[in-house]
Amino acid sequence: MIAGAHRRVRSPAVREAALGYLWVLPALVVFAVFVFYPLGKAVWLGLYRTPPFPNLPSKYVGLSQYGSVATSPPFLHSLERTLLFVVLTVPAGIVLGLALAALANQRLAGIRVFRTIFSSTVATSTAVASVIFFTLLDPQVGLFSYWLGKRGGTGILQDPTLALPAVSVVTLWQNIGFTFILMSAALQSIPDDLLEAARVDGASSWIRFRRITLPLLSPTIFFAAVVGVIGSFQAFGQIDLLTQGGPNNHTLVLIYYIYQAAFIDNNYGLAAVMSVILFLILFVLTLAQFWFFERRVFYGRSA
Amino acid sequence: MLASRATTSGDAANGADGASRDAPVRDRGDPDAGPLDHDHEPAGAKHLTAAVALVGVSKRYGDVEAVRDFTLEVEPGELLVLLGPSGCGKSTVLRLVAGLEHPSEGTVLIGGTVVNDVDPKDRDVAMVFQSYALYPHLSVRQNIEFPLRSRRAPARRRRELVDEVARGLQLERLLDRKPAQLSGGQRQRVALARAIVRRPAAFLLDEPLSNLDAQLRLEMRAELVELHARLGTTSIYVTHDQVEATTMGQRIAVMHEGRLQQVGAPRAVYERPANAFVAGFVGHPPMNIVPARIGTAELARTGARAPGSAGAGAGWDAERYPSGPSARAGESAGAAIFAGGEIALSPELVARVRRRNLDHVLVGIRPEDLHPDPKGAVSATVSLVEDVAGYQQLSCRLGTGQLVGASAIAGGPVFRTGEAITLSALGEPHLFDPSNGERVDS
Repeated sequence: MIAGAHRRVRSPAVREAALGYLWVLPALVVFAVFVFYPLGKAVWLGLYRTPPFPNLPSKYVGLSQYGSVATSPPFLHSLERTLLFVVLTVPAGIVLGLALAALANQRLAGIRVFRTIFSSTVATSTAVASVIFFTLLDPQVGLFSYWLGKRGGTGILQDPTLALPAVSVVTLWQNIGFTFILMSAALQSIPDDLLEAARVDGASSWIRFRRITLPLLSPTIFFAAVVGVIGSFQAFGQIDLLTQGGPNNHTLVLIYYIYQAAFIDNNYGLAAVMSVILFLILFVLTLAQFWFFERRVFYGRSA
Repeated sequence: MLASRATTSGDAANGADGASRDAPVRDRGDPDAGPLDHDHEPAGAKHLTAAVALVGVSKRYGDVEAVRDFTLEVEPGELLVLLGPSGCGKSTVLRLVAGLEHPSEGTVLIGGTVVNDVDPKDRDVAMVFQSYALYPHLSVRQNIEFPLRSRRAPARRRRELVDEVARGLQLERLLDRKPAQLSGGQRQRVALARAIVRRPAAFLLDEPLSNLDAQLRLEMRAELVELHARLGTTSIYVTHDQVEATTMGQRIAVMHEGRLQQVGAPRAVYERPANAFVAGFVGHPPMNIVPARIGTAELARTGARAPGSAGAGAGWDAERYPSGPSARAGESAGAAIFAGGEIALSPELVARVRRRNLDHVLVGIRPEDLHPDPKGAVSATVSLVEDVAGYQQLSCRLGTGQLVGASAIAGGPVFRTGEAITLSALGEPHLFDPSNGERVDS
């Protein structure tokens, strides 16, 4: 007993570490319950083939299901659609957001009005944006259909070649406010001195942008790129509300395919396998972005 | 006309008053006269031969007038210091020359050419910012060669020029570093190198030393003067530090509230300040400026100021001299009387005072000219003693409550706080008109 009491006197470092773990414990619990456990469960579900009819026992097939799904044409088609969606939404979103931010960064009377307008889409939900565009894209009464000369014919959202671009435009529109706010904040953090020095040093406005502004914005652009790629991989609401993956699976992005597999076809095995693959893709992409940008991004003081 | 006046050493260019009085050439009432009306002045006007000239320049931001009717020529090869307290508009003048601001009125000329509508990148001036404004993402070499790149200099030429400038400023070992890895003094050098490298028509330096510690500032000050002597490039140097200004400038231009107060060699400005502001601003410790009455039997007898004396002065007088001008026993005619004592004035100075119909003046005496003297006419109490190597610097309270600075000569008696002393002044004091601060014998 006495010996035990002595042993309880621990070194300050150990006590400090214990206290530290105590503080992160709530976060760890939340992560474990809502992230790590579902992830592990998804991996485990992917090892079993879901039976073709309900109430039959699911069959353990091991990793073979991962291989067969990863090479199956429907999955590859969906992956291709997803990548196309990312390519259509992320770079254009950054370029547009930056362009609007650069425009709104002028010292002009009434520029606040434009700042408010440009950032307003951040306050709309995906559902609202989708409903607005659903009306605009409607084959009978939609303005876009009218402008594109498609009035009365096949709707834009029903056209296999136009459906994904249309969904991309909605996504772009909805994300522009956030990108605009990000880029505006970053632009305003660039000291006036630097741009004035460049002016006196003989740099044209394009060179000032290219050689001063853009490098100093690179951390923000990097952030927008990472967040944008992840966001586009996970875009669900606008697909569900506008096309439900159609026409003919042309907007069937991975996340929507997973949703269909799990909750419409009740094929949990397939959904779990695709979820894990989607997770791995995002994981690798994010690592790659970090690796790529680390060498090109200028982080101010630390460089 | 106005031009030659403003550049005369020790002469005052007292803003609009001075301009309208001395420059009939400029018809300010002409409604057709646009901002470029100075183009029509006779050829050979001084601002055409100057390296940099500002003619009648004003700059307004809304209701705030940062620079008012500013006229100044900078001679080719000259190092001119723009001196003034913060907010006096000196940085705005520099930015007007750089083209970062556009004048609301007036003309800016570089090398005799009007540049009002010329973009900064085409003005061929280089600027050193107070913050240095180094490009943080570029190496020292890339920073220095930035102006060359903007001008599309070939790569080999760029490399040569950067190496040469880096050698001159001891930056060779730092060329691959980023600005964040440099000390304050090194950053300052990089900023200078970036300005020097393309050999501009003029250097504009905006308080370049104010972010350095005292020791480094002294070193860089000497280095800058040396650099200017070596390059011989016209330079405008903005500072609020009058020691920096008087030690570095070939000429100094003193600004206050957007107006040019005086231009001249540092010694000339120091010896004959054009007005009470310049007198109080240039010189350290600052000149004592004491309100005084002119002792004249005539004025005392009439009991009133002569007609024509400034109306604005009346209120000022009533405030400080509730008793009003009146004859007092034992006072000397033609002496400046203050705080129960008096200081003799020369007949010429008295004549000047008379011509201006002044019965009150501001007397300016530099602390280094005011000494404790047992036979002195002004009594005071020592309120602070500072021992400066070799002599004592005194702050003394006059009978009126005003504090004045004085100095006790080396080897003389030692003074203590609270001691009652009398003071006497060496040489003739500076006299200023209390209504507008102008020098009486200007």
